[in-house]
Amino acid sequence: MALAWINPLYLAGLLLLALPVLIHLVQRRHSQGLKFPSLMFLRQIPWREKRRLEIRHWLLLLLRCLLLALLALAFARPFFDSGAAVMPNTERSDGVIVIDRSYSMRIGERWDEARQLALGLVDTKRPGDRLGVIAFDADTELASDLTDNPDDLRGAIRRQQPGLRGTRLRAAVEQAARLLEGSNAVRRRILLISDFQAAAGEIPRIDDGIEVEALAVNAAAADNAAIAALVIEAPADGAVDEFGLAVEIVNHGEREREQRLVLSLDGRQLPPRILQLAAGETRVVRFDGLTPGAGLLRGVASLDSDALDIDNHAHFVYSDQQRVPVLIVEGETPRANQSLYLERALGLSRQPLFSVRRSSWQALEDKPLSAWSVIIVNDAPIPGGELGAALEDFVAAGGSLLVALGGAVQGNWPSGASGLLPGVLAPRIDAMAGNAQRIGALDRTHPLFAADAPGIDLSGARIYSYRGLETGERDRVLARYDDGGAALLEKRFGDGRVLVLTSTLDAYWNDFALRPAFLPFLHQALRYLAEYEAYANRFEIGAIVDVLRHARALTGTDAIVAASGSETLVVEAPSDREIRLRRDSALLKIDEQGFYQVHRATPAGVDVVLAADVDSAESVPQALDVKQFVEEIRDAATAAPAARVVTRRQASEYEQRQQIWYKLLLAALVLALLEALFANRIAAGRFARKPAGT
Amino acid sequence: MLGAKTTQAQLPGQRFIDPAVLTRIDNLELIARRVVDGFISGLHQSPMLGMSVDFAEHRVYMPGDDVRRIDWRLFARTDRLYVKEFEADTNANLHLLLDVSKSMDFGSGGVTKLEYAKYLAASLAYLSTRQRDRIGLVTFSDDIVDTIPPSIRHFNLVLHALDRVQAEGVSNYHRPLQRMTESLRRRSLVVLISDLYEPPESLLPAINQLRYRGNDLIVFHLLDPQELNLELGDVSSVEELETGVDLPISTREFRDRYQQLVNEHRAELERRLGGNQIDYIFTDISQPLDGVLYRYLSDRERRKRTR
Repeated sequence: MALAWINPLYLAGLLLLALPVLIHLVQRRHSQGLKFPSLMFLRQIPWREKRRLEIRHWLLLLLRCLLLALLALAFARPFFDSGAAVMPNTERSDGVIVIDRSYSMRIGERWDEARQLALGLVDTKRPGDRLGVIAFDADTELASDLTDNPDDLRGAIRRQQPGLRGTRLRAAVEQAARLLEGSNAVRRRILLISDFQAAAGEIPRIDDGIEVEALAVNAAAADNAAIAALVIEAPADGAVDEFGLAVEIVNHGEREREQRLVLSLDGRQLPPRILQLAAGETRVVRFDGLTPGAGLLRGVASLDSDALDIDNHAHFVYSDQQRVPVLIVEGETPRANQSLYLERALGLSRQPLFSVRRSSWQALEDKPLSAWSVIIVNDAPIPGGELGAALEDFVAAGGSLLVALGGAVQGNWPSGASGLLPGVLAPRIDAMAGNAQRIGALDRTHPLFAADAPGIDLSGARIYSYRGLETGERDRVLARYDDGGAALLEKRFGDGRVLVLTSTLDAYWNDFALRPAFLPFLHQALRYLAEYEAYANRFEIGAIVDVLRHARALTGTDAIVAASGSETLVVEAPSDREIRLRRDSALLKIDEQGFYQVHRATPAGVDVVLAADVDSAESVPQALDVKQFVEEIRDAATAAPAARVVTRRQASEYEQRQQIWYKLLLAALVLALLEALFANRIAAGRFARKPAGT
Repeated sequence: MLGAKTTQAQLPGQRFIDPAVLTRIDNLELIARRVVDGFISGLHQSPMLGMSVDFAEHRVYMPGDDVRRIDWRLFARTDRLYVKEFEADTNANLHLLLDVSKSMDFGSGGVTKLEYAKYLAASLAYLSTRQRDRIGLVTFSDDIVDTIPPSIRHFNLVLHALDRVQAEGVSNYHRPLQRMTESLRRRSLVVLISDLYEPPESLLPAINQLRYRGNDLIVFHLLDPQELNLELGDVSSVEELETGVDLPISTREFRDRYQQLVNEHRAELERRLGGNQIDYIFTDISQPLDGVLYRYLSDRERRKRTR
């Protein structure tokens, strides 16, 4: 911890110290300038008197000098700064070995070479010189702080292994620079050992007093092919039980090669595809008409082994359990094609797939409603009685309701459903012929129409008739007609959501169903009502996954969420390592390639599967121009260390460290009092008249 | 322009010359003449007048006598060889012993002790020349610095030597006075001019050496008024001229004790020197020089009568 100054210019005030000394010297010269013939008689006068006189004046001088010095120091605001530069140690050299452990270091002998280089740096360091070790891939780990103990350093290096992640050089180099910021060594170096893979990232910004030495280990060119991407394609229209797969393969090698691509689905291996790939060629291979089978499907696309095996595999999961069950309820005597547009629109959705069934209230009387995620009441009366109560329970438990009003609902809402549905119904409002209403105002803050949702332009639809609806305090109007009447309302009821469209979903009261906005609106509304979230087929190693959220998206239900309760979730990693997660913090860090299986502790059985693979960008063999890279770091180097973010806690610590000035000022005050006391005593003694002969 | 100053009560009507005025005159002889002539013209009767007379006698030539001393005129008249015999030219030797140590280079008024001593020595030399005494000069500090042997014709030499005198060295009376004593061949009048910064018990043996051959000894003790009363103003330390030693002092607190010590020193010197038939003349250099001479000559005349 070094002493630093907030206002170092005030230290110039120390020059004031010369003032009393000068005054003293001037006075002294004045008194010394009086020469006297002989001290023969003066020497006979008792020494004690002279001695006392002399000491008293020196004390006064000292007091005044100290007083001025304390004032100057106090105004310079000293504080203890652990990060401040201290007096340079002109003999010691400090360095940080920054070693790359990204998965591209697995190619050939790169890792062994890198480790030998690092160990060599430790072996050849001078006694007293300090080294630190930072290992990095996409993450950065401080393996050893600055130390001059070679054994600690060797241990830290030997513990490192190449990982499965990409390269982020900037964070690692900047952390090394921060480690060296507190060093007072005359020479500070970052010893960067890497294959300088092209995806290494941005140029680090470091203090220009730090040298960067790059030690490249990418001498041998790699003969490598990789799976660059894997995309699951939605089933073709009318073939909902099938899905497709596109696999992108890249030949990173410098020569043409024959490559075999094997696809396995749930362990069942499909006939391999033999590909002839030229040097640097990228090819997309499609697999169509794949059938998912029951439940979750695990798939692996694999290439033959080569210099880097880890990028030859792509794992994925596929689930058709994500279909959203939708029930369309019509009245007793529906119009012709009353739900035609609706069913067609829902059938065109790929994400998610909707399982649509049409029915009437009478047909549903004995059947549970909980089998459905969303119930669409398409111009049908709202049931009362038991069915009404069942409907309320359905919504309260998390189900959703979309109500399209037409002529089927007479009067107001039934009494049993008044709490479920928004507002109070009013009579039908008809627009004059040729003067149809348009939907003019949308609540853009609602997820349905938010900026990140697909652009939905409802203004094209012409509305000839709609049901008037007086909104209540808890009702939210999402869209209004030109005349200000409510077009779309939302009401939350229990855990569920209710949307009410005050006109029909066919071409009876409007031409909305014939407009381009109808399809995206309907899909977005249903995704919102079903709380749909797309699941991820694959995760990248290094990602942190909310297991419960993934499970909900994958299965389309809250089954595992609800069933797990406060239980512990057990995760089996690809290496059979077991990880236990609590339900309230079911976050899993992906650090292995392959399938993670998640299940409840009891009873046993796989509920959810996650597929994980490496970041394919890291397998690109092109390397950076090391010399240019180092020069760019040097060019970007700043004279002063980058501004540090000061947290509130640090700020209070700084304040505490700066309290020294306060103490210095107090000490100066005490000294000033002492000085006044001494000076007064001397003055009093000088002017006092002693009796003659004493 | 010579200023005048009314001085001591014991010399009513007498006007003496302020020493500060003398410093404006470069010519030592002129100073001496001005001091002594003015001083003599003021005297009604000088004890020195008519004392210096030459006369001769003849005696029969004896073999071995210098033939150049034969009076050939008398031989022509008497046809006998007679030799001329002369009385000495003066009746006394005057040795001026001048202390030129650094301590003499001090003066709070217009004149330093050394300058005052030079005027005093020049005046005494002039006075003696008028009486046809032989005059010699010895300057000394811790050893003899310059020597001019006594002679009737050495007045100008003495003046030149006095003119060249610079204050230097530290006072040490024993060695130079001993060498001086050894060089004295005839009974002489020895005048010592000094500030006498030496304890009487060590100073007296050195001075007494000069008395051993029957020399007549006069000591002029010169001090500046500041040396008498320590009126130095508000100073915290003083530096000794001869050694450069610095000593912190408080003039106010030291003054009484200092004056007491100086007075004791003077009294002790006067007592001891008087006891050894040595004339002691204390001289405050702020006082007129001719007044000092007058007082000195008066004292000597009075003593001559009483002896």
